[in-house]
Amino acid sequence: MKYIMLTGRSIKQGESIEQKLSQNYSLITSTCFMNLLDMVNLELEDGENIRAISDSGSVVFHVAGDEGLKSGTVFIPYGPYCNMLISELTHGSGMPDFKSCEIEIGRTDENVLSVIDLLSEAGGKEL
Amino acid sequence: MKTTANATCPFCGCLCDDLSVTIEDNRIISVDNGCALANAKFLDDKRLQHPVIRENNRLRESSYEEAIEISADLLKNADRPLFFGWSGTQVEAQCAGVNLCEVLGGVIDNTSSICHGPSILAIQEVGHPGCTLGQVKNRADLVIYWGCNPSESHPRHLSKYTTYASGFFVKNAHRERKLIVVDVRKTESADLADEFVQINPGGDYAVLSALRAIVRGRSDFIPETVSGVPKAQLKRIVDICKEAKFGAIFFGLGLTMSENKYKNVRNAIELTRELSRHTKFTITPMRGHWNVYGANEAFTWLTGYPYAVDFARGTAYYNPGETSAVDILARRECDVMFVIGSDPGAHLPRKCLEYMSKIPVILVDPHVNCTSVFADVQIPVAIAGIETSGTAYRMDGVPLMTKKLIETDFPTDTEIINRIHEIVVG
Ligand code: SF4
Repeated sequence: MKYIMLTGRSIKQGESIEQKLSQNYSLITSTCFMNLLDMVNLELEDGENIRAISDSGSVVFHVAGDEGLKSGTVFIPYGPYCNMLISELTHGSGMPDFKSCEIEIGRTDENVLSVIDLLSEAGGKEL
Repeated sequence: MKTTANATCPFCGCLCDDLSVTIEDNRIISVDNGCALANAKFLDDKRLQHPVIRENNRLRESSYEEAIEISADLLKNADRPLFFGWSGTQVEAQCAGVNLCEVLGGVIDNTSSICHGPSILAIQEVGHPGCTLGQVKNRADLVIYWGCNPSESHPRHLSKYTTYASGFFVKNAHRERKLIVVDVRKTESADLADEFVQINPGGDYAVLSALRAIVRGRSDFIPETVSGVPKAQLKRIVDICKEAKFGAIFFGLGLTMSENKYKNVRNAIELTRELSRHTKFTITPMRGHWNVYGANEAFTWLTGYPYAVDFARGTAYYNPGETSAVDILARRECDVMFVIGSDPGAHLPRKCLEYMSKIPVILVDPHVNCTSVFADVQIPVAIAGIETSGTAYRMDGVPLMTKKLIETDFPTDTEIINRIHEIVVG
């Protein structure tokens, strides 16, 4: 099944925005909020990990249930994790598909990467 | 210990200018009136202390002179420098940045290209029936939040201007002012609404069109559900809108970042216009970063265009989709990137980051952030809006002065840009 990934602001993400290499920011921006029924169907519980795959990349997230989401949609706070899945194409508008990216989701035992390790996969250098 | 009253908050587009900031020994120790986001911003005390330069793939400390020299050399020798960011600094620095880009024949874009840029494209097509936030507070008896979640992104918007803000003609806001929230997600803001409309992802355009048809009296055309919304609810919404004396629509990135992008915003503006045939309606984008609106203003008065401005031809050229930062990076076109007042390392798609890792990146920012990982030079500066005074524009286009609250030895954004400029022009 394909899911639509919505990315957006959350208050916790906003609070941690000046400390982007911190564990706290990593935890907040690597959390994938899902519809509760979708979680049941994938046999997932809060805090377990998933691998999300799009045409542009693949990233491990923690999951958390969110009653406000319709089945088939997930929400991920803005940050480097969700952006690893977003295509660079803007359809001539300048704006990527930050709220209409299709992803597939599967359960995984792999760990969530730190921000530095995640960015190094995209060419990020040592600090 | 001293307290500065009416300080301006440099975080979100509300640009609240009623904060009380208490300072002891030149350090901020408490903030009153601010939201959680303001508290985090004002009380943060971790920052980069010295400029750093990448050498043998490691960052080493340097002097300001050396970091500025190297930055100027990189920019002078570039064929196509890209200047990106600008929403997290004041208008004075934005103007200096446009001037530097122009002498270098570079391309300059601000973060609105990945924020409300599509809203500007729509406004350029059909105009902007907007108003100030003061008008909304004093007059609006109906507020619609569409594709935005102010409780989390602009936490004081509801208490300063809408649901909890009584005004001159709206004496008891909580009782007299209706709230409609339209979103794909049932957010905290949706929980406060008198009417919550949950649409399917990508359904905004169809729902806006259906509402326009109903306003025009053509509900016979509308199917029983539109993008997940029952026709009965759409008709109820139109009735509420027509009964209002003054309706204010606020929209967020739910319209600009989803399918149809600027066409969604165009449709929302046309709905506003349609409703204004029956009563008074206005529409305002929920601008995100505190001075992103100022970047659009400064760019426009200096170049004629609000963002994505290319000086390669010797004159300003504007074509979002071609001259916008994401597209230039995706096409692997720029050969140096200068970043200020934003963090593209955290907010651009993967392919753009991959290209950033291949070219020299100069970062002007007080904090170590995701772009630092790609930077070859980082120059720490005073925190704009807290350690420097200057002009910023609120989301409704009202310019406000931000105050310098504490003394600092760090140079300002404007000083760094001007020093680079001096070296570049020799
Ligand atoms: S609502 Fe925005 S501008 Fe106002 S205090 Fe909060 S973060 Fe600052």
